[in-house]
Amino acid sequence: MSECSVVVEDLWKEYPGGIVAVRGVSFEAGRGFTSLMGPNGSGKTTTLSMVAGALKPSRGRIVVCGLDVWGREGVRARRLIGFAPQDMPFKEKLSGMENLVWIGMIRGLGYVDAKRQARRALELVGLEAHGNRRVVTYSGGMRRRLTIAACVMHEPEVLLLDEPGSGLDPRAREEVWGLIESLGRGRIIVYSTHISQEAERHSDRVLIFHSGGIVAGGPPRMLIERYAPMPRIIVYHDPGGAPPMVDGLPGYSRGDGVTYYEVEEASSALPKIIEAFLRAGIQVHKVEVKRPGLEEVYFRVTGARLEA
Amino acid sequence: MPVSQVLAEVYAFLKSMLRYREIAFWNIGFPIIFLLVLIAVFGGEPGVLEIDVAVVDYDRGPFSSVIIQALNSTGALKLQLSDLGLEELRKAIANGSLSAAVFIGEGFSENITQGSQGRVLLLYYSNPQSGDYIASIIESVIGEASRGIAARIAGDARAEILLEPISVEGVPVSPEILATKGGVRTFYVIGMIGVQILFSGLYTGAGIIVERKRDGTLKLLLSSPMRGYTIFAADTVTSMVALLISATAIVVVGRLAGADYSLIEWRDALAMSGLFAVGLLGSLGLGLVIAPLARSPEAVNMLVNSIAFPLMFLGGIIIPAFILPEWAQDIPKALPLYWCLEGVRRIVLYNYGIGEALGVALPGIIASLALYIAGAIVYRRLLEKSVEIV
Repeated sequence: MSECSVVVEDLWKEYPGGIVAVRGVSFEAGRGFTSLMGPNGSGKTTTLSMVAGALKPSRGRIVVCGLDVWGREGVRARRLIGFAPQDMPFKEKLSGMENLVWIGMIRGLGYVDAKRQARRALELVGLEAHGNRRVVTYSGGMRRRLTIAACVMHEPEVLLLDEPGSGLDPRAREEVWGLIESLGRGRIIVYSTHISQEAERHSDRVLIFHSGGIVAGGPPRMLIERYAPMPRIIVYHDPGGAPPMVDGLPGYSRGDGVTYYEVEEASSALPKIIEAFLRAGIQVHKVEVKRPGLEEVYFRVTGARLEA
Repeated sequence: MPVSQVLAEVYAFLKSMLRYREIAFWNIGFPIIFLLVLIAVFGGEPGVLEIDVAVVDYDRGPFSSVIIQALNSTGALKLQLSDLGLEELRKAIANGSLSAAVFIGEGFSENITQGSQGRVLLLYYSNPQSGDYIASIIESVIGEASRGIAARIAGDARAEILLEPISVEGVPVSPEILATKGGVRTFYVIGMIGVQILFSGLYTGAGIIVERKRDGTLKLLLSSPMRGYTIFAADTVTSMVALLISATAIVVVGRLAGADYSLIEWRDALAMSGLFAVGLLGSLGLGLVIAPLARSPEAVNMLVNSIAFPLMFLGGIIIPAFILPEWAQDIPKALPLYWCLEGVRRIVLYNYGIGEALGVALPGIIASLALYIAGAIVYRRLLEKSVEIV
């Protein structure tokens, strides 16, 4: 395979009324997994839609494998892209197979090729036994697998997946991610997520989105080392009263009976924290030790919590 | 343009027709039910509404005036002076525009003055229910006038040959098919296809973007390697296929319900298909032109229904234009689809040649194509706008 990448340069999206959804986003995604991580409304889906060619940027440039998505080579560039919106517009009463043939034809395959590729894609995602069932009877996980099948019908170089794991139970999510991992080998995968664990586990590179822009980016381990290297002790206690200082460390309280401390070593800090709470007369219900992750990175970088 | 991308929508439509009852209903069930209702209510023997009689007076002499006055005095006949030739009169009677015509040739009065019989041609509809009755009324009026003329010139030396100074030669004109039960039913078959064209064209055109925005397929299409006009072409072809299915169902059920297609040859069928197709392009174009007024599928429904329902009745589509009230007589003329359907009706009901029928439909053909082009321009603007906010 020739070297190929997705290059996004100074991308902006402004809607009428002065609403700026994406402000000056730039990144380059090579082969492997790149996640756009951020809460709802942070500009990830808008960015993905623009890269997919479904939404025109107000400014900026998107180049996929050397082809400008919004330039003259737009149609050729789109041939290299498989885009899975969060809710693929399947025709509910058509079977999975028929939906794939339809989407394959939309993506330029002839009827016979579309049928062959649909069969192959159904096998790839493990739905071959359910291909003739109407989509309306599919579970959430099956729909998501069908969405991924629809994306790879025309064997694209680039897969753009909008929240591929959201709305699924943990088991279905695992299955879907197993599938994406296997189909994504050798391809460029760019996906959006608001689930930090997902980004941490399935990314070679994470781009943290906040208020329409990228505030940090890099491999997950690097981001954690850089922004949130220390473990966190979370104390669930009776609300009210200022959380006590421990060895000069202030607690960060959410004000709802949850306070956390960032410590260098959890095992030595834990007894001291509990003791401090007891001395302060605040009843403790539960204590958790959490190793640092991208959620903490997000908090450190933006000052806001990454909410579902 | 990759054909497969255009056919993708056709594929989805055909599959959806098998799975979605509502799609099958609106494309097959509804037109069949509507057609059967129309045939049941209006498909009987047509009655004579008025006795329209044309008088062609090339004589302009004293005795032709007597005949005209006599015909005018009955009050039962709606008389109109005309200068049509015999063949044109025959056609007008055959297609139901006239009930009868009285043709008075040059030298009619002169002949009577000189003692010869004056000859009058009476062309009439040979329909047994109404035509013979009308002919006998007119013959008796002219006979009465003839006797009056005879009395006026009584005492003349040549009186013996003036007892019957006017001879009436009856020329029965075979009714065209519209005057038969089968013909009336065929009228409604064509009308029902027209209704499908009107509604599906307007719906498809007006909803081409907003419907897809709502169901999410616009995003899918825009992110596909498709040029903007492919969606337009795909919807046009899909509408044609939908019309073909509807029209086939209508034609078959119409035949079973007694519609008469005996005047149709295969060349006629081709010409008619072409006219229907052009009519559909016009409706699609009209739908696209009004599309900017509807920003949601619900608004499309409201807009299309408020236009299509009145036009279905007032646009000369299922109700013949000539029986519309006078204030509404010109409404059909403003609708390109009416002219296309008129072209079809001339072929099927009035046995016109293809050239003549296309001549009648020409304003509709031109206007339909112009609307389609205008629609394409509007579509392009809508798509450009949509790609800014999906």
